[in-house]
Amino acid sequence: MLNRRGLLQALVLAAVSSNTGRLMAETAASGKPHRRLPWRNWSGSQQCLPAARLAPASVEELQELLSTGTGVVRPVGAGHSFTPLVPTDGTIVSLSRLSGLVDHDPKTLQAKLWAGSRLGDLGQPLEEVGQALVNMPDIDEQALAGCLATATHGTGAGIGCMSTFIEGLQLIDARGQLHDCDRQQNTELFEAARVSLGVLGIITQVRLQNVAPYRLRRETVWREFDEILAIADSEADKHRNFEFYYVPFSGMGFTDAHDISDEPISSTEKIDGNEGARDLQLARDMLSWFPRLRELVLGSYMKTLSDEVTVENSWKNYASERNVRFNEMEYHLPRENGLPALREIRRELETRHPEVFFPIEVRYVQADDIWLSPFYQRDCCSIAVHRFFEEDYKPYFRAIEPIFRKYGGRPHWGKLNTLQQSDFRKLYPRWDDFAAVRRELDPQGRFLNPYLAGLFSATAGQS
Amino acid sequence: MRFSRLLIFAASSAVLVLLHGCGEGPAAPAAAQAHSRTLQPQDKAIAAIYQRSCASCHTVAATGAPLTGDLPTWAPRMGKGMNTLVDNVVNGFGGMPPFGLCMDCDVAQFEALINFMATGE
Repeated sequence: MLNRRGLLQALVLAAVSSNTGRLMAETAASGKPHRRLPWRNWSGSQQCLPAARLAPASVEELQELLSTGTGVVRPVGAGHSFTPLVPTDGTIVSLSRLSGLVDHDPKTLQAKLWAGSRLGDLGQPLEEVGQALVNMPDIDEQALAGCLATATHGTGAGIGCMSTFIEGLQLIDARGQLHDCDRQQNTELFEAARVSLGVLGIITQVRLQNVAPYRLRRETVWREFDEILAIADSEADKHRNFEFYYVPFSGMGFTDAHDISDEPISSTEKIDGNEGARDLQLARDMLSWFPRLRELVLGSYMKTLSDEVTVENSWKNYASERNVRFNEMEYHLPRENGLPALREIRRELETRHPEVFFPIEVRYVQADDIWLSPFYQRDCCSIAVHRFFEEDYKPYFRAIEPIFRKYGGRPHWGKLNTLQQSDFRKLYPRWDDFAAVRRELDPQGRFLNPYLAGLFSATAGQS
Repeated sequence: MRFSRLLIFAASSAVLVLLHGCGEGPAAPAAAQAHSRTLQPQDKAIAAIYQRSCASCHTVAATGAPLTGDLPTWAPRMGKGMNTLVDNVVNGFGGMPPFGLCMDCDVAQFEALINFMATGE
């Protein structure tokens, strides 16, 4: 066992070294005193060599930066987006020094937060003032601004994406001018800015509608794939938060349901997930040549696994640390299309992609009215597929994306997709309204890197 | 028999990665973890960066990151040379994402942070 793990670690180290060689050589050659560092996203799939990386310490500093500077400026959070929202050879601006709680209202249970706050850093201070986020994603490393810019979501058929919690926000446009907007003032900007990809300006503060602190009971149950499909819709309606995973080539998956509870904090035994990822990869390597045996072995064992229950304060019971990096594609489908699409995805995956070992993740999100929200005016079933970050994701994602699109999916703004401006204009009824607001706030396109220029430049359409 | 047990272990633990991530690692070296949480860089600017970008992993044994001030763990890493360690931060290494959590740090700041975590001083 130890030998096997040692071998795996050696292989991983070797792979990392080979992948990073080129940029390391470039940067090493540039000399230590003035070394210009490349920027990469979380998975390493996006990279650039920016002229500057800045972290203003105040709104005034940020205004100065925007009003006096030239060239492209892109805001960066935690780098958790897989799409090329950040890369630029201009300036990358981090709001990491603008983080934390600004103020709060105990009557309305609203809190004003710096947009650079990490989600995982908000639970404790909010609890201390008698508040909690309505919902959270299953990763909490992201910056708040990044979550909101990309319509990041948790799961819950009766709960919207994170951006639906916004009651007001402050934004600095390309000329360095401050704009405040909420449901009553600057309503057009408010509708556009709640999900805005960082192309309207840099959002510095947001006022969120929260709830009183609550405790969640999270229950994980292993089930056969067909059973999951049979109960998924009713379970999604029954539980506050419900999601499920399907494990490729096993016939098995697990459901994960959260409900508010007043039970004492407790947890059943857990397994080391990071080691597990490596081991699943190894199982893939050993058995991908014989899918039926793979399913027999994996499925048989999973049927013996115990259910798992964790009771914890809400902000400690949504997210998991992800030390195993991956690339991801996620589409939000009309809810009624989710399960039929999943059946097709499984068929495609298990017919043509034995290389895949990451589970498929399925979540539910309530409809909203935000112009660029993928959940605009429709309840959704969100389906995500993953590949280990050191392996080529393109063949698998290229095969799955047509299924997502066939079923009317809209891609997560931060997750890999191949859609162009013309595709998005068809998917978003308010696309041109958003584009008009963008032109007004940033007529010179300072917030447009090449990817975003492709989505919003006038030459590519009317955006 | 041995082969099937291996596969069974692989299946069970790997599936759980999306649920549990790194949250439940091997038994935490409690003393080293407690010690790491008592340490702060003397330089205020570096301390601020450390607090918002490094401490959340490097003071939690379960993350698998080398703990601040855990000299025996850091020694072989420092043996690779500072340039290699900075490259690992910039490019990401294992579970640590590129740039750690500091998108605006320069080389000198990364070096100061690494030195502090490796020595506790």
